[in-house]
Amino acid sequence: MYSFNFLFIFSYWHVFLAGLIVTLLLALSTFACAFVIAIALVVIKKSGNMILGKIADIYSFVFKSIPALVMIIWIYYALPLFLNVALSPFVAALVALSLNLSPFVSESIISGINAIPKGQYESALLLGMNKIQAMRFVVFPQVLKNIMPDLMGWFVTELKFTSLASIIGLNELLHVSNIIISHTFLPFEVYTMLALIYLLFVGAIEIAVKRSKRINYKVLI
Amino acid sequence: MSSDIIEIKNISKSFGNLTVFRNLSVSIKRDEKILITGPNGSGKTTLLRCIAALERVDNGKIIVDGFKINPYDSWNNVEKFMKKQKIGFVFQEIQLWPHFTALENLTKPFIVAKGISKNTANKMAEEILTIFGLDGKKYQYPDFLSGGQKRRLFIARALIMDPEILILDEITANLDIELKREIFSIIRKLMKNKTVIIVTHDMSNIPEFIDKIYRLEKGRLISLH
Repeated sequence: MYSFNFLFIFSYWHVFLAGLIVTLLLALSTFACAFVIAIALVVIKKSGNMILGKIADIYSFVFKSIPALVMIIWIYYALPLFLNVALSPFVAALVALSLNLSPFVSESIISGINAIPKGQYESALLLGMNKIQAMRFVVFPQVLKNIMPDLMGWFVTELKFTSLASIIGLNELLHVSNIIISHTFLPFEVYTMLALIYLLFVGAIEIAVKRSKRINYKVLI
Repeated sequence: MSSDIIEIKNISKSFGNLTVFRNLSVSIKRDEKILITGPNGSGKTTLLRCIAALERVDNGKIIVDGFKINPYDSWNNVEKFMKKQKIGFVFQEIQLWPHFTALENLTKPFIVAKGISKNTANKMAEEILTIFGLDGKKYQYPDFLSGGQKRRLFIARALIMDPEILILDEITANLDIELKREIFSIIRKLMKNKTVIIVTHDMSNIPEFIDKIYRLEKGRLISLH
């Protein structure tokens, strides 16, 4: 029977920590970029402009259809050939994952907006608020409450998707784990440790999702 | 000042192939209390929404207190008109803002749209809440109010800005007779110097303060009383 040996952690914890920092940094920055793109997509789709709306639809279709791994490889290896610029693994992964995630986030936001009855917005207008005030004070806090569990779900997905960047040599958790394995020859232990780290962070996010349902987002306005 | 506060001139409105009304005209005098009835789907709510500029008419025009509100030239002008708070609109569906307390539902429009201080807004809102028997509920969120309390709060919010025109769309639908009486008795107290338009398909409980009754049927408005 195989006997596990976790003593390697004492020698390599700082390597895991470095990988974890890169993973979290990539997940957070990807999510922030995807959110900004998603907001732009929502504004375009809700603007009623037929041409821009079609362009947004095509964008969503293209980046939803291409697997994230293909996007990462293509952006890292092929894009420099066309643009004549070398992208770092972090930037390539950031661009690929942001493009990949943004259509999904935009759809969550649109669903959140559509779930708010039109009368909520109209009653604000009738009470003298302008369109921006009605959106800010009446619609936005309700949309945020609706979409927060979805957004956190996408963040969890993104956190796990960062491991795809190991293919282009980014020193995120999976990549540093592979390096540790090449030194220790302890793949089961290292991958178990890796799984535990992901579990810890995803568990923390799950708790945050549950708490988010109790938040009144009027505090943000 | 014209005695007609609302002038509806030859308006038509369709949704696709469905014509809701065609060449409909009616004038409503200042301080007049009118009731519009008609079968479900006859366009009563659409007519009210056109008066409040929430729907655009296809033809004709609607003038409210001298301002051509529909069809409007630009939404900015409508916003300016709405800021004057001429119209208080109570929808059939209760549209309280769930993230605000009962008090905040009343004060937010004051603070945001009129720039009135929070303290002044609170005082005015508390007075209205007392009139509507909701003074003990001011820190409650709408989800924790009963159906009748929600309805009263919703009407209170439409009245908080002291509008000249009060539009009530099926406000007593699905309420028991006691609550209907209670709501109409509060409205009676607050409707002085206001033009009131009540829409209902329930003719069993017509408030005695009504001056005129119209029936909207097949796109035409027929005077019944």
